[in-house]
Amino acid sequence: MNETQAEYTQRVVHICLKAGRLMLAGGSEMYRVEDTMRRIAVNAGIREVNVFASPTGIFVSLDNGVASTVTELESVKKRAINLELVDRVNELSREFADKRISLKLLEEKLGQVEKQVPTFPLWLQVLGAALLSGTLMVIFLGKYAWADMLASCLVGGCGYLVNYRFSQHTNVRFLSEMVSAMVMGMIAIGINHLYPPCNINNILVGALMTLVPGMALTTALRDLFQGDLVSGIVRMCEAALTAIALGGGVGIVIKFLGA
Amino acid sequence: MFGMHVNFTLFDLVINLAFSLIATIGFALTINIPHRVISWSGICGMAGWMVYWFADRADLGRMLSNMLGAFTVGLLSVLLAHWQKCPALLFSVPGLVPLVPGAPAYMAVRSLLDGNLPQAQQEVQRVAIVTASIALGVLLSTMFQEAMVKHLRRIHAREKKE
Repeated sequence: MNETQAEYTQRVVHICLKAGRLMLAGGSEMYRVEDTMRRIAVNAGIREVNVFASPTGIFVSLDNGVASTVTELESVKKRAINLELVDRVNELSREFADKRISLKLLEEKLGQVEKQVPTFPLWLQVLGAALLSGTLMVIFLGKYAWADMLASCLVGGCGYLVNYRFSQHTNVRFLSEMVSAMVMGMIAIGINHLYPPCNINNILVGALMTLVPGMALTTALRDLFQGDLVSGIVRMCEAALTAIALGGGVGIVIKFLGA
Repeated sequence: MFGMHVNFTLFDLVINLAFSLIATIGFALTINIPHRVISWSGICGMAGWMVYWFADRADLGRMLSNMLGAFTVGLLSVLLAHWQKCPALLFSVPGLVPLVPGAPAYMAVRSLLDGNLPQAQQEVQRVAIVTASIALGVLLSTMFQEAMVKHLRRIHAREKKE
């Protein structure tokens, strides 16, 4: 290979940044992002490796002992929870560590992962959200109200769909959650009007669980216990704000339509 | 804790087993979990919920039940991650979803809307307590896992010496 040491270091930095960015965008814990980047660099033969990840940006600093240290940073703005992404990149870094793939192949495969991550089709996601709302409502309340369960499935599915579509059209965080909570409230009140035995509270307890920040909360806890205090607190704050957006959305509708 | 009295019917048991499994898998679908681990993440959530449910039925209190549930999920997710060779996150995130205090959080908003401040305060406190106990459960499972790894390493080292 006819590239100088400095160029090689530069390339490793880019690969590290790409891997880190993909994992961070997928919603991984900070500890794992940093660990993966460090492993890639160490396995590529870099002597001094320093990495730092925060929820909005990553830093990599490599020193190969020849030229000056190469340091780069990349900010991460686009985030969509996608655990398949985390798993893929993790798998690739493992393969690289076991010398099953070369650095060049790793770079290519990361590019592939970036371009096309397999996601579940939208209808399956909506079905998942619908099932989740109905079943959680029943086990949370311990009441076998089957009509409420069906209504909850419907409302949860619709709310998830609205959130999915709306978040593609806006850059304002938490707005899509609020709007979908409002839609959920309206549909629930509508169902209650058409079929009075349905309890609005029961329906909404289940349906709102589709948008509850469970992911943010659990990764926040992991981050805090790993000592990544910055990202732990940021994620806690994100979870709290999402919860407030959901509560606000439902609250506005219930107050205005008077349920 | 021992000699506790747990009261439920077979129907309750079946409903709780099935619905916690379905709910966890439903959540896993919305966060795009890899296909190969989807059923295992469902089982992780089911185990956590069932531990919580039994503990709650045995009147262990909200805090202890949630802690035990989260502990189960944390431990199981680490074991599954080791076995399936993938991040523990894939199991612990969907697994903890049934334990998230959604019902008290909603009731807090509801009481706030009705102008019932004392009730709202009580519900908010409940949410805080449940969240803290889940955190405690996750922390305990991390500690347990660390201790196990150290213990296993020590055994390995001793075997090598001999």
